[in-house]
Amino acid sequence: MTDDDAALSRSLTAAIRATEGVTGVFPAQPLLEAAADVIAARLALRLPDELVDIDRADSFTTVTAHISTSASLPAPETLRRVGELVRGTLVGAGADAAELAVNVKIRLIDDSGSSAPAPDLEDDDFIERARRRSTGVEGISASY
Amino acid sequence: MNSEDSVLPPTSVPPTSVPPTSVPDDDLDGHTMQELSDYLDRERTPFDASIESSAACRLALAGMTRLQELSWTAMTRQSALDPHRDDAWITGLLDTIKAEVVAGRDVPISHPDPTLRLALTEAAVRGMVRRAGDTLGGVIMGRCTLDGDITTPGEPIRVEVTASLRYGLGAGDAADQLRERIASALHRHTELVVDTIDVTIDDIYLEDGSGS
Repeated sequence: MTDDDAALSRSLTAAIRATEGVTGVFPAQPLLEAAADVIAARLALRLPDELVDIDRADSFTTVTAHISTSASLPAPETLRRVGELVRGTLVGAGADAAELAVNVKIRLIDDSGSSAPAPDLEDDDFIERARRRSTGVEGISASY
Repeated sequence: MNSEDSVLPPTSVPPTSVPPTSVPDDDLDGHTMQELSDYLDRERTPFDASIESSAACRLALAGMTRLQELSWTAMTRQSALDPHRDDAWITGLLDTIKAEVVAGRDVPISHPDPTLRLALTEAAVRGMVRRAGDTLGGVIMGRCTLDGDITTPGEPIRVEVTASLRYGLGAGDAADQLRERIASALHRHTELVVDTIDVTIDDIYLEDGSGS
């Protein structure tokens, strides 16, 4: 992801978290891959809170976000709100609407009201657990 | 806790330790059911970001928490005294929870703008169905199956659930209430066209939480 896309991902992650009915944002890529990102982030190769995935191929942009929503609001309502927010943000930033796809997926309907936080990079235990669990991550870590 | 539980001697297992499940442990984003059980026993402290930021783990925790609230402690203590009697039941419930947290198929939500592709995962829907049953009172949800093409808008589907019923409750009334709650939840949170909801009461559990 380019620096611009990384900044856009952070901005979208924060905006989605603040959306009514959203209780959390999950990594849009598999968690083990995300754990590798955490290691990379620890090494200043990638910043945290970039949970929205932005993929550019040729001139086409695909944005993917995975969220949890509150059971107190109808899930489709929240889902549409988030989709429109993401699309509006991208078009506002100059994206061509004809060359854009926005994927938003609800992974969990939450009745606890608790949020799904971003990994805490100050948490050494988490870093160590992520390193141990991630297949091949030790190799990645060793290569830097 | 009932009077029988209160005189039980301390057991060598943690109150909510879980028997080994038959579902492989590689689909919980690197965690095991035992780890999640231990985490619940610690009241989710210290905060574990790798668990809390995994949708699969969060779904499993939600199911296990409700199971815990439904006398899981009593069940496991009974199991410690007579491991063969209830292990199969508890293991079956945990297996089901674990199997159902795998994301599965996408359940689409419509939007007039074709650039927006919106969906819930099958696991999110099953989790919602499970919650609808577990919070009914007197019911512990078993398996939940969404039968049919849930990925195509407008296609009628069949929902099939199994449940354990607390001894003394009427199976017919409980099944009707369960069906109504599931239909209401699916109508509120999805655009699925539900043709039928089949409820099978496949077990009876006693007030102390042990299965029959």
